[in-house]
Amino acid sequence: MTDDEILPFDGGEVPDDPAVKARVVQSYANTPDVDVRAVSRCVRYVLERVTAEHRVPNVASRNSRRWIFGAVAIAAALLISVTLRNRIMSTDVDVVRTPVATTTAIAGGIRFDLLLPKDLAANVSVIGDFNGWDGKATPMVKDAKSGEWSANIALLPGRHIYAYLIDGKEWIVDPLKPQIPDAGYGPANALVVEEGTK
Amino acid sequence: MICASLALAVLLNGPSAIPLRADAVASDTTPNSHVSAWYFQVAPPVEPQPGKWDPTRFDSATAVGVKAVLDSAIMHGLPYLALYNYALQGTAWRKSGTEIISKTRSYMVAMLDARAALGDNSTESELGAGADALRAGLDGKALQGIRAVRPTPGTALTALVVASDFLSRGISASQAREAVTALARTSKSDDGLNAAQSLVARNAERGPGMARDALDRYVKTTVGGAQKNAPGKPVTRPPGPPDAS
Repeated sequence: MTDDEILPFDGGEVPDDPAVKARVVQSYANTPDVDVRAVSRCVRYVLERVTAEHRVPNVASRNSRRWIFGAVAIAAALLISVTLRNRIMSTDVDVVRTPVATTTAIAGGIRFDLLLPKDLAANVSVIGDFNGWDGKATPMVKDAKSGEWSANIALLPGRHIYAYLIDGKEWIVDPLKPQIPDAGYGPANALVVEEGTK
Repeated sequence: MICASLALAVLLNGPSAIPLRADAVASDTTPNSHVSAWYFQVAPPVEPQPGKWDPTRFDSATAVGVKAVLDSAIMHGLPYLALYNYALQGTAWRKSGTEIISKTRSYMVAMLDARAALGDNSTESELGAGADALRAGLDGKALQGIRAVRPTPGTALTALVVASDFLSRGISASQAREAVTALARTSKSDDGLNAAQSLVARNAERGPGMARDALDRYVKTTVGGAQKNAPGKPVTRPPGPPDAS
Protein backbone atom coordinates (compact mmCIF):
# COMPACT_ATOMS: atom_id res chain seq x y z
CA MET A 1 0.00 0.00 0.00
CA THR A 2 1.48 3.34 -1.03
CA ASP A 3 1.65 6.33 1.28
CA ASP A 4 -1.12 8.11 -0.62
CA GLU A 5 -3.39 5.11 -0.19
CA ILE A 6 -2.75 5.06 3.55
CA LEU A 7 -3.66 8.70 3.98
CA PRO A 8 -7.44 9.21 4.20
CA PHE A 9 -7.44 12.61 2.46
CA ASP A 10 -6.79 13.93 -0.96
CA GLY A 11 -3.35 14.55 -2.31
CA GLY A 12 -3.80 18.34 -2.16
CA GLU A 13 -3.92 18.18 1.61
CA VAL A 14 -0.80 16.07 1.98
CA PRO A 15 1.96 17.98 3.80
CA ASP A 16 4.78 19.10 1.58
CA ASP A 17 7.48 18.52 4.18
CA PRO A 18 8.67 14.93 3.69
CA ALA A 19 9.43 14.54 7.40
CA VAL A 20 5.95 15.62 8.40
CA LYS A 21 4.36 13.50 5.72
CA ALA A 22 6.35 10.51 6.93
CA ARG A 23 5.11 11.04 10.50
CA VAL A 24 1.49 11.39 9.38
CA VAL A 25 1.73 8.31 7.19
CA GLN A 26 3.32 6.44 10.06
CA SER A 27 0.52 7.40 12.47
CA TYR A 28 -2.19 6.32 10.06
CA ALA A 29 -0.30 3.12 9.24
CA ASN A 30 -0.38 2.18 12.92
CA THR A 31 -4.18 2.42 13.25
CA PRO A 32 -5.81 -0.91 14.05
CA ASP A 33 -7.69 -2.82 11.43
CA VAL A 34 -11.39 -2.26 11.14
CA ASP A 35 -13.47 -4.81 12.94
CA VAL A 36 -16.10 -6.04 10.55
CA ARG A 37 -18.46 -7.09 13.31
CA ALA A 38 -18.33 -3.67 14.89
CA VAL A 39 -19.08 -2.06 11.61
CA SER A 40 -21.97 -4.43 11.15
CA ARG A 41 -23.40 -3.54 14.56
CA CYS A 42 -23.20 0.15 13.86
CA VAL A 43 -24.88 -0.19 10.50
CA ARG A 44 -27.65 -2.33 11.92
CA TYR A 45 -28.28 0.16 14.73
CA VAL A 46 -28.48 3.07 12.35
CA LEU A 47 -30.82 1.23 10.08
CA GLU A 48 -33.12 0.35 12.95
CA ARG A 49 -33.29 3.97 14.09
CA VAL A 50 -34.04 5.19 10.63
CA THR A 51 -36.71 2.56 10.16
CA ALA A 52 -38.34 3.37 13.50
CA GLU A 53 -38.54 7.09 12.76
CA HIS A 54 -40.35 6.47 9.53
CA ARG A 55 -42.59 3.68 10.79
CA VAL A 56 -46.31 4.52 11.04
CA PRO A 57 -47.46 3.88 14.61
CA ASN A 58 -50.33 1.50 15.03
CA VAL A 59 -53.61 2.48 16.73
CA ALA A 60 -52.90 0.70 20.00
CA SER A 61 -49.65 2.46 20.68
CA ARG A 62 -51.18 5.80 19.68
CA ASN A 63 -54.01 5.28 22.16
CA SER A 64 -51.65 4.24 24.92
CA ARG A 65 -49.59 7.36 24.38
CA ARG A 66 -52.74 9.51 24.54
CA TRP A 67 -53.77 7.69 27.68
CA ILE A 68 -50.45 8.52 29.30
CA PHE A 69 -50.74 12.17 28.32
CA GLY A 70 -54.30 12.23 29.66
CA ALA A 71 -53.30 10.64 32.94
CA VAL A 72 -50.49 13.12 33.38
CA ALA A 73 -52.85 16.00 32.65
CA ILE A 74 -55.45 14.72 35.11
CA ALA A 75 -52.82 14.19 37.78
CA ALA A 76 -51.52 17.71 37.29
CA ALA A 77 -55.04 19.13 37.53
CA LEU A 78 -55.68 17.16 40.73
CA LEU A 79 -52.40 18.28 42.23
CA ILE A 80 -53.15 21.93 41.52
CA SER A 81 -56.69 21.72 42.84
CA VAL A 82 -55.67 19.91 46.04
CA THR A 83 -52.87 22.36 46.69
CA LEU A 84 -55.13 25.35 46.24
CA ARG A 85 -57.83 23.79 48.38
CA ASN A 86 -55.39 23.08 51.18
CA ARG A 87 -54.23 26.65 51.09
CA ILE A 88 -57.77 27.93 51.34
CA MET A 89 -58.66 25.53 54.15
CA SER A 90 -55.55 26.37 56.12
CA THR A 91 -56.52 30.02 55.94
CA ASP A 92 -59.96 29.18 57.28
CA VAL A 93 -58.53 27.20 60.17
CA ASP A 94 -56.26 30.05 61.12
CA VAL A 95 -59.19 32.38 61.20
CA VAL A 96 -61.14 29.99 63.36
CA ARG A 97 -58.26 29.70 65.77
CA THR A 98 -58.15 33.45 66.19
CA PRO A 99 -61.71 34.67 66.41
CA VAL A 100 -62.29 38.34 66.88
CA ALA A 101 -64.18 38.74 70.12
CA THR A 102 -64.90 41.82 72.16
CA THR A 103 -66.76 42.65 75.31
CA THR A 104 -68.07 46.15 75.77
CA ALA A 105 -69.76 47.74 78.73
CA ILE A 106 -73.11 49.11 77.68
CA ALA A 107 -76.08 50.56 79.49
CA GLY A 108 -77.65 47.66 81.30
CA GLY A 109 -74.86 45.15 81.04
CA ILE A 110 -72.16 43.80 78.80
CA ARG A 111 -72.24 43.33 75.06
CA PHE A 112 -70.47 40.24 73.74
CA ASP A 113 -69.41 40.32 70.09
CA LEU A 114 -67.84 37.49 68.17
CA LEU A 115 -66.77 37.58 64.53
CA LEU A 116 -66.32 34.21 62.85
CA PRO A 117 -65.63 33.27 59.23
CA LYS A 118 -68.67 33.24 57.00
CA ASP A 119 -70.95 30.22 57.33
CA LEU A 120 -68.73 28.60 59.91
CA ALA A 121 -71.40 28.35 62.58
CA ALA A 122 -75.11 27.80 62.44
CA ASN A 123 -75.63 29.00 66.00
CA VAL A 124 -73.43 30.53 68.65
CA SER A 125 -74.12 31.12 72.30
CA VAL A 126 -72.38 32.58 75.32
CA ILE A 127 -72.06 30.26 78.24
CA GLY A 128 -70.83 31.14 81.67
CA ASP A 129 -71.56 31.33 85.33
CA PHE A 130 -74.21 33.96 84.66
CA ASN A 131 -76.45 31.44 82.90
CA GLY A 132 -75.49 28.25 84.71
CA TRP A 133 -73.28 27.14 81.81
CA ASP A 134 -76.39 26.37 79.81
CA GLY A 135 -75.66 26.33 76.10
CA LYS A 136 -79.23 27.17 75.22
CA ALA A 137 -79.73 29.99 77.69
CA THR A 138 -78.01 32.85 75.89
CA PRO A 139 -77.97 32.46 72.11
CA MET A 140 -76.13 35.10 70.15
CA VAL A 141 -77.79 36.92 67.29
CA LYS A 142 -76.06 37.14 63.93
CA ASP A 143 -75.96 40.42 62.11
CA ALA A 144 -76.93 39.72 58.51
CA LYS A 145 -74.75 42.48 57.13
CA SER A 146 -71.52 42.13 59.09
CA GLY A 147 -71.86 38.47 60.04
CA GLU A 148 -71.02 39.32 63.62
CA TRP A 149 -72.61 37.41 66.46
CA SER A 150 -73.62 39.46 69.48
CA ALA A 151 -75.50 39.23 72.74
CA ASN A 152 -76.28 41.72 75.47
CA ILE A 153 -76.24 40.28 78.96
CA ALA A 154 -77.04 42.03 82.22
CA LEU A 155 -74.26 41.18 84.65
CA LEU A 156 -73.75 42.07 88.25
CA PRO A 157 -70.46 43.69 89.24
CA GLY A 158 -67.74 41.19 89.96
CA ARG A 159 -65.92 38.40 88.20
CA HIS A 160 -67.63 36.23 85.61
CA ILE A 161 -66.31 33.19 83.78
CA TYR A 162 -67.49 32.61 80.25
CA ALA A 163 -66.77 31.07 76.85
CA TYR A 164 -68.38 30.85 73.44
CA LEU A 165 -70.12 27.69 72.27
CA ILE A 166 -70.22 27.00 68.52
CA ASP A 167 -73.03 24.77 67.29
CA GLY A 168 -73.40 23.30 70.74
CA LYS A 169 -70.14 21.39 70.64
CA GLU A 170 -67.07 23.54 70.01
CA TRP A 171 -65.73 25.91 72.65
CA ILE A 172 -63.96 29.10 71.73
CA VAL A 173 -62.30 31.54 74.08
CA ASP A 174 -61.11 35.03 73.40
CA PRO A 175 -57.34 34.68 73.17
CA LEU A 176 -56.69 38.25 74.22
CA LYS A 177 -59.01 38.50 77.20
CA PRO A 178 -57.98 37.33 80.69
CA GLN A 179 -58.04 33.58 80.94
CA ILE A 180 -58.46 31.39 83.98
CA PRO A 181 -56.09 28.50 84.58
CA ASP A 182 -57.16 25.31 82.90
CA ALA A 183 -57.66 23.06 85.89
CA GLY A 184 -58.96 20.15 83.93
CA TYR A 185 -62.22 21.30 82.44
CA GLY A 186 -60.90 23.46 79.63
CA PRO A 187 -60.11 27.07 78.80
CA ALA A 188 -62.39 29.94 79.69
CA ASN A 189 -62.26 33.69 79.94
CA ALA A 190 -62.65 35.86 83.01
CA LEU A 191 -64.51 39.14 82.85
CA VAL A 192 -64.48 41.78 85.57
CA VAL A 193 -67.55 43.97 85.67
CA GLU A 194 -66.86 47.20 87.46
CA GLU A 195 -69.21 48.84 89.89
CA GLY A 196 -71.56 51.23 88.14
CA THR A 197 -71.43 49.37 84.85
CA LYS A 198 -74.93 48.17 85.15
CA MET B 1 -80.55 2.62 96.37
CA ILE B 2 -80.21 5.23 99.11
CA CYS B 3 -77.51 3.23 100.83
CA ALA B 4 -75.67 2.85 97.55
CA SER B 5 -75.86 6.58 96.92
CA LEU B 6 -74.56 7.37 100.41
CA ALA B 7 -71.72 4.90 100.01
CA LEU B 8 -70.80 6.45 96.69
CA ALA B 9 -70.94 9.93 98.18
CA VAL B 10 -68.59 8.91 100.95
CA LEU B 11 -66.22 7.33 98.49
CA LEU B 12 -66.19 10.37 96.25
CA ASN B 13 -66.45 13.15 98.78
CA GLY B 14 -64.56 11.80 101.74
CA PRO B 15 -65.58 11.78 105.37
CA SER B 16 -67.08 15.26 105.17
CA ALA B 17 -70.16 13.68 103.73
CA ILE B 18 -70.85 12.07 107.08
CA PRO B 19 -72.17 14.26 109.90
CA LEU B 20 -69.83 13.80 112.86
CA ARG B 21 -69.97 16.62 115.36
CA ALA B 22 -71.98 19.73 114.62
CA ASP B 23 -70.76 21.85 117.56
CA ALA B 24 -67.16 21.63 116.36
CA VAL B 25 -68.00 23.79 113.38
CA ALA B 26 -68.84 26.87 115.34
CA SER B 27 -65.82 26.56 117.60
CA ASP B 28 -63.40 26.30 114.73
CA THR B 29 -61.99 29.78 114.46
CA THR B 30 -58.29 29.21 113.93
CA PRO B 31 -57.25 30.61 110.58
CA ASN B 32 -55.38 27.58 109.29
CA SER B 33 -57.59 24.84 110.55
CA HIS B 34 -60.39 25.16 108.05
CA VAL B 35 -58.96 22.71 105.56
CA SER B 36 -58.50 19.96 108.08
CA ALA B 37 -61.84 20.87 109.58
CA TRP B 38 -63.46 20.33 106.24
CA TYR B 39 -62.24 16.80 106.19
CA PHE B 40 -63.14 15.84 109.71
CA GLN B 41 -66.07 17.91 110.80
CA VAL B 42 -69.71 18.07 110.12
CA ALA B 43 -71.52 19.19 107.03
CA PRO B 44 -74.85 20.28 108.48
CA PRO B 45 -77.85 19.75 106.23
CA VAL B 46 -78.02 23.30 104.95
CA GLU B 47 -80.20 23.81 101.95
CA PRO B 48 -78.67 25.83 99.13
CA GLN B 49 -80.23 29.07 98.09
CA PRO B 50 -83.81 28.47 96.96
CA GLY B 51 -84.31 28.29 93.26
CA LYS B 52 -80.64 27.80 92.53
CA TRP B 53 -79.86 24.19 93.21
CA ASP B 54 -80.96 22.02 90.33
CA PRO B 55 -80.05 18.37 90.81
CA THR B 56 -81.33 17.52 87.35
CA ARG B 57 -78.22 19.10 85.90
CA PHE B 58 -76.28 16.10 87.19
CA ASP B 59 -76.83 12.40 87.29
CA SER B 60 -78.09 11.15 90.64
CA ALA B 61 -74.75 9.99 92.06
CA THR B 62 -72.97 13.15 90.96
CA ALA B 63 -75.75 15.29 92.39
CA VAL B 64 -75.28 13.67 95.79
CA GLY B 65 -71.54 14.25 95.72
CA VAL B 66 -71.78 17.84 94.52
CA LYS B 67 -74.47 18.60 97.08
CA ALA B 68 -72.21 17.32 99.86
CA VAL B 69 -69.38 19.57 98.70
CA LEU B 70 -71.72 22.56 98.52
CA ASP B 71 -73.03 21.85 102.00
CA SER B 72 -69.47 21.82 103.29
CA ALA B 73 -68.81 25.11 101.53
CA ILE B 74 -71.86 26.74 103.06
CA MET B 75 -70.85 25.42 106.45
CA HIS B 76 -67.49 27.17 106.11
CA GLY B 77 -69.05 30.38 104.88
CA LEU B 78 -67.79 30.06 101.35
CA PRO B 79 -69.75 31.41 98.40
CA TYR B 80 -72.10 28.69 97.32
CA LEU B 81 -72.78 29.96 93.83
CA ALA B 82 -69.16 30.03 92.75
CA LEU B 83 -68.73 26.37 93.58
CA TYR B 84 -72.07 25.40 92.13
CA ASN B 85 -71.21 27.16 88.89
CA TYR B 86 -67.87 25.41 88.86
CA ALA B 87 -69.64 22.07 89.05
CA LEU B 88 -72.01 23.15 86.29
CA GLN B 89 -69.05 24.09 84.18
CA GLY B 90 -67.93 20.49 84.46
CA THR B 91 -71.29 19.29 83.17
CA ALA B 92 -71.06 21.70 80.25
CA TRP B 93 -67.71 20.14 79.40
CA ARG B 94 -69.38 16.72 79.75
CA LYS B 95 -66.91 15.56 82.36
CA SER B 96 -67.54 12.48 84.43
CA GLY B 97 -69.28 12.75 87.76
CA THR B 98 -66.20 11.61 89.64
CA GLU B 99 -64.12 14.30 88.00
CA ILE B 100 -66.70 17.01 88.65
CA ILE B 101 -66.92 16.18 92.34
CA SER B 102 -63.16 15.90 92.70
CA LYS B 103 -62.47 19.20 90.99
CA THR B 104 -65.22 20.99 92.85
CA ARG B 105 -63.70 19.81 96.11
CA SER B 106 -60.27 21.01 95.00
CA TYR B 107 -61.74 24.37 94.06
CA MET B 108 -63.36 24.62 97.47
CA VAL B 109 -60.05 23.95 99.21
CA ALA B 110 -58.41 26.59 97.01
CA MET B 111 -61.11 29.07 98.00
CA LEU B 112 -60.49 28.35 101.65
CA ASP B 113 -56.80 28.99 101.17
CA ALA B 114 -57.56 32.14 99.21
CA ARG B 115 -59.75 33.42 102.03
CA ALA B 116 -57.03 32.68 104.54
CA ALA B 117 -54.62 34.77 102.49
CA LEU B 118 -56.93 37.58 101.39
CA GLY B 119 -58.94 37.91 104.58
CA ASP B 120 -62.44 37.17 105.71
CA ASN B 121 -63.77 40.43 104.32
CA SER B 122 -62.91 39.48 100.78
CA THR B 123 -65.69 39.54 98.25
CA GLU B 124 -67.01 36.43 96.57
CA SER B 125 -65.36 37.39 93.30
CA GLU B 126 -62.05 37.96 95.04
CA LEU B 127 -62.19 34.53 96.60
CA GLY B 128 -62.90 32.94 93.23
CA ALA B 129 -60.13 34.88 91.55
CA GLY B 130 -57.81 34.11 94.44
CA ALA B 131 -58.57 30.42 94.13
CA ASP B 132 -57.81 30.61 90.42
CA ALA B 133 -54.54 32.39 91.15
CA LEU B 134 -53.54 29.72 93.65
CA ARG B 135 -54.34 26.95 91.24
CA ALA B 136 -52.42 28.78 88.54
CA GLY B 137 -49.28 28.72 90.65
CA LEU B 138 -49.23 31.72 92.98
CA ASP B 139 -48.77 31.07 96.67
CA GLY B 140 -50.52 32.48 99.68
CA LYS B 141 -47.83 35.09 100.29
CA ALA B 142 -48.35 36.49 96.83
CA LEU B 143 -52.06 36.88 97.55
CA GLN B 144 -51.26 38.56 100.83
CA GLY B 145 -48.95 40.94 98.99
CA ILE B 146 -51.70 41.86 96.56
CA ARG B 147 -54.12 42.37 99.43
CA ALA B 148 -51.59 44.58 101.19
CA VAL B 149 -51.47 47.01 98.28
CA ARG B 150 -55.23 46.79 97.68
CA PRO B 151 -56.63 46.50 101.21
CA THR B 152 -60.20 47.54 100.53
CA PRO B 153 -62.48 44.55 99.85
CA GLY B 154 -63.22 44.23 96.16
CA THR B 155 -60.30 46.33 94.97
CA ALA B 156 -57.92 43.39 94.53
CA LEU B 157 -60.16 41.60 92.05
CA THR B 158 -58.58 42.82 88.82
CA ALA B 159 -55.08 42.28 90.18
CA LEU B 160 -55.91 38.67 91.00
CA VAL B 161 -57.52 38.04 87.61
CA VAL B 162 -54.54 39.58 85.81
CA ALA B 163 -52.10 37.54 87.90
CA SER B 164 -53.88 34.32 86.95
CA ASP B 165 -53.84 35.36 83.33
CA PHE B 166 -50.12 36.04 83.45
CA LEU B 167 -49.45 32.58 84.79
CA SER B 168 -51.70 31.02 82.17
CA ARG B 169 -49.55 32.64 79.50
CA GLY B 170 -46.21 31.38 80.73
CA ILE B 171 -45.14 34.17 83.06
CA SER B 172 -43.35 32.83 86.10
CA ALA B 173 -45.01 33.12 89.47
CA SER B 174 -42.33 35.43 90.83
CA GLN B 175 -42.48 37.81 87.89
CA ALA B 176 -46.28 37.82 87.92
CA ARG B 177 -46.34 38.55 91.65
CA GLU B 178 -43.85 41.38 91.41
CA ALA B 179 -45.44 42.92 88.34
CA VAL B 180 -49.00 42.80 89.64
CA THR B 181 -48.02 44.08 93.06
CA ALA B 182 -46.02 46.93 91.58
CA LEU B 183 -48.75 47.94 89.15
CA ALA B 184 -51.48 47.67 91.79
CA ARG B 185 -49.43 49.78 94.16
CA THR B 186 -48.69 52.47 91.60
CA SER B 187 -52.27 53.46 90.97
CA LYS B 188 -55.66 52.90 92.51
CA SER B 189 -57.04 52.48 89.03
CA ASP B 190 -57.05 49.12 87.27
CA ASP B 191 -56.10 50.68 83.94
CA GLY B 192 -52.44 49.82 84.32
CA LEU B 193 -53.22 46.22 85.17
CA ASN B 194 -55.60 45.88 82.24
CA ALA B 195 -53.09 47.45 79.88
CA ALA B 196 -50.39 45.07 81.08
CA GLN B 197 -52.71 42.11 80.60
CA SER B 198 -53.53 43.18 77.07
CA LEU B 199 -49.86 43.69 76.27
CA VAL B 200 -48.87 40.30 77.64
CA ALA B 201 -51.72 38.56 75.82
CA ARG B 202 -50.69 40.04 72.49
CA ASN B 203 -47.04 39.19 72.96
CA ALA B 204 -47.77 35.71 74.30
CA GLU B 205 -49.00 34.75 70.84
CA ARG B 206 -45.36 34.93 69.76
CA GLY B 207 -44.16 32.88 72.72
CA PRO B 208 -43.81 33.10 76.49
CA GLY B 209 -40.42 34.73 76.19
CA MET B 210 -41.89 37.65 74.31
CA ALA B 211 -44.62 37.97 76.93
CA ARG B 212 -42.08 38.02 79.75
CA ASP B 213 -39.98 40.66 78.04
CA ALA B 214 -43.01 42.80 77.26
CA LEU B 215 -44.22 42.65 80.84
CA ASP B 216 -40.77 43.47 82.16
CA ARG B 217 -40.49 46.51 79.91
CA TYR B 218 -44.00 47.68 80.73
CA VAL B 219 -43.46 47.47 84.47
CA LYS B 220 -40.13 49.26 84.27
CA THR B 221 -41.65 51.99 82.14
CA THR B 222 -44.82 52.42 84.16
CA VAL B 223 -43.56 51.97 87.68
CA GLY B 224 -40.19 53.58 86.97
CA GLY B 225 -41.89 56.52 85.33
CA ALA B 226 -44.24 56.89 88.25
CA GLN B 227 -41.36 56.90 90.70
CA LYS B 228 -39.43 59.31 88.56
CA ASN B 229 -42.31 61.76 88.45
CA ALA B 230 -43.15 61.33 92.11
CA PRO B 231 -42.20 64.16 94.40
CA GLY B 232 -38.73 63.69 95.70
CA LYS B 233 -37.82 62.95 99.26
CA PRO B 234 -37.40 66.23 101.17
CA VAL B 235 -33.89 67.11 102.24
CA THR B 236 -33.77 66.96 106.01
CA ARG B 237 -30.29 68.36 106.48
CA PRO B 238 -30.24 72.15 106.37
CA PRO B 239 -28.00 73.56 103.72
CA GLY B 240 -24.83 75.11 105.06
CA PRO B 241 -23.19 78.33 103.92
CA PRO B 242 -21.26 78.14 100.64
CA ASP B 243 -17.95 78.44 102.35
CA ALA B 244 -18.72 75.97 105.13
CA SER B 245 -16.43 73.34 103.70
